[in-house]
This record gives sequence, structure tokens and C-alpha cells, in this order.
Amino acid sequence: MGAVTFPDAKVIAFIKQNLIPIRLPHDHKPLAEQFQVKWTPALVTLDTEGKEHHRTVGFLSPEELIPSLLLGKAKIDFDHEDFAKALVSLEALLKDYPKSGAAPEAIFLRGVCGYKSTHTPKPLKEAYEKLAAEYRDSEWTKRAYPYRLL
Amino acid sequence: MLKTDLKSNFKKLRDERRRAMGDTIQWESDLNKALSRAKEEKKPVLMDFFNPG
Repeated sequence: MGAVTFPDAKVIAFIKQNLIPIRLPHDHKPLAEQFQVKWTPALVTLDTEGKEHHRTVGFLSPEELIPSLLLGKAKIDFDHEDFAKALVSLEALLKDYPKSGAAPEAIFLRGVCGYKSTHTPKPLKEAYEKLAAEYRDSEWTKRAYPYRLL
Repeated sequence: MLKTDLKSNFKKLRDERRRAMGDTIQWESDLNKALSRAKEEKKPVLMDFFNPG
């Protein structure tokens, strides 16, 4: 990550604009134990209170890191029940990084945000249909499977 | 020898890339400071646990 992803200009710009970055060695005391870090790189997204909402383990290219960070932002907003704000990050992710590993989960979460905002099942069904059409083998397609009946 | 050359070239390439961008990520190293900034700037915190090797 330090050699390829973090020096990338887009990654630098994204992190500067959207996040407060902190870098710690894998054996940092007490945080490595507190956050149960077992392998690196481990990227953990926290809210302003220090609560974890998203985590990845292993190398991510710039094209995968940015959508993963957008997903992390969306999860924070979702967990805080700010669905409109979560949707902004999810739409940006799906517009700019539709082929990324984070995209299927973003579609799933967009469907749930839509449902929570409107109290109608349509966004859930749409999420399943998009996942089934474009990401057939994703675990998120399987998780959305019941929504086909809505 | 070859391993040393590769390592040296890799570092050189990385440094050139950074210089060309004229920028790097300004990492915090203290969580309390990062959280304080996060509240002030209303941004989430990205924590990177890495292996300095």
C-alpha cells in the first residue's frame, strides 16, 4: 500500500478531502490489540467518536481503495441513520467505481437506505435485480435473494 | 546484488513519483489527535495498521 496505493495522486486527494488519516505499526500498544489487528495492511474506518464501522484486510489498489473508503463513509452515515448522506457516498461509488469489489455491497446498502428512507420495498427489489443482473456470483446477490419476492 | 539493485530502483521510482505529485498523505500518529481533528473537520478517521517490515 505504501509503495503503490498511498502515493497515488487520486488517493492522496480523496483522503485529504474526506478523511483524517492515522498510521500505526501492526504491534502498536494498545491500539493493535484494542482493534484486534491480526494481519496487515488493516484499514479501519472510524466515526468521530472512534467507533469502527468498516474494515479491510490486505492490499487494495487505488481503484479499489477509494470505493472501499466511500463504502466506509456510507456505512458510518447508515449506522447513524443519515440515509440521505449515505446515499451520496454510495451513488458516487457506483458512478465512478462500478467494477470495484465494493460495488455489490454498495448496491445492497443503497437498497436498504432506499427502503429505510421511503418505507417501500421497491428499492430492495431493485437492488436484488441489479445485483442478479450485473453481479450474479457476489455474496451480496445471495444476501439480497429474498428481496426478489417483494 | 540484483536484489539490492531492484530495491534501490524501486525506492528511487517511488520517491520520483512522490516528488512528481508534490504531495503525500499527512498521517497522524496519535488517535486522540486524529479524533480531535475528525470532530473539528467533521470527517471520519482512516486508521492504517501497517507492517514497517
